[in-house]
Amino acid sequence: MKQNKKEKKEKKAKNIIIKCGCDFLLPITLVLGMYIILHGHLSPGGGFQGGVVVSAAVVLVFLAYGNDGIRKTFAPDKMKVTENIGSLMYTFFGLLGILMGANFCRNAIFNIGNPGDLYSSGTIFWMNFSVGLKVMMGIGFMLIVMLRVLDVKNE
Amino acid sequence: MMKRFFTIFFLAIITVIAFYVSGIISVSPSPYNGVAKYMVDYTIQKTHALNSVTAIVFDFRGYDTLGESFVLCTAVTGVAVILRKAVKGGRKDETK
Repeated sequence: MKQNKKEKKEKKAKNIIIKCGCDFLLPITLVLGMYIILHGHLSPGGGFQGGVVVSAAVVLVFLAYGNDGIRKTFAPDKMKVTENIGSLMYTFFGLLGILMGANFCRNAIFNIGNPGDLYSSGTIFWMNFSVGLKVMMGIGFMLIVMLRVLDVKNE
Repeated sequence: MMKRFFTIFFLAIITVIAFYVSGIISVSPSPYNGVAKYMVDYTIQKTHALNSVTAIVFDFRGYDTLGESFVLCTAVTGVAVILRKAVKGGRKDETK
């Protein structure tokens, strides 16, 4: 009993410095991740790297508010569906080459816009976006499930 | 006795072939005029993307990236199957 009370007290008294730090870092992390995904064809980075940076939001919320905070903020079922939508988007933009009369994964619409613009490189931009969507949702779902194991064993 | 002799014999043959091939590769001039030169030269003309690494990953080798992203899908499925107790426990708490 005494040990349980001690554990409950420790759970209630989360460090306020960690809470404030995570609240401060969360929007910066999300914006930086989306920037890396959307500017993948102009600056270093791409879908994989930006997706992993965005999915670090799960870890930040866990550090600040624990598993209860994750349950309140994220919807893992919808995240699973969104990941599959991302992979279907990638396959569609690969098939777009065949639909436009070339081979699979050919960049058939590359000459939209000037090189250097944000929306410039045709399917590369969209493939970056779909891979980023897929990676951020997949890694986030994996992290949520892995962090839930801590709760299940305690109960 | 014969088994050990054959093992050592084939190992020696494989070692000699490995050294021979690596020596030939290191001596012969590097084939820089192949696909690598084409990718570096025609990145902006063919794809209009300034970042040539992204152009290679998502355009010239798009099929490879497709497989890579499906590897991640398989990993997520494996985690969900192995830790299905955690997934179910989370759902019960959500319904409460």
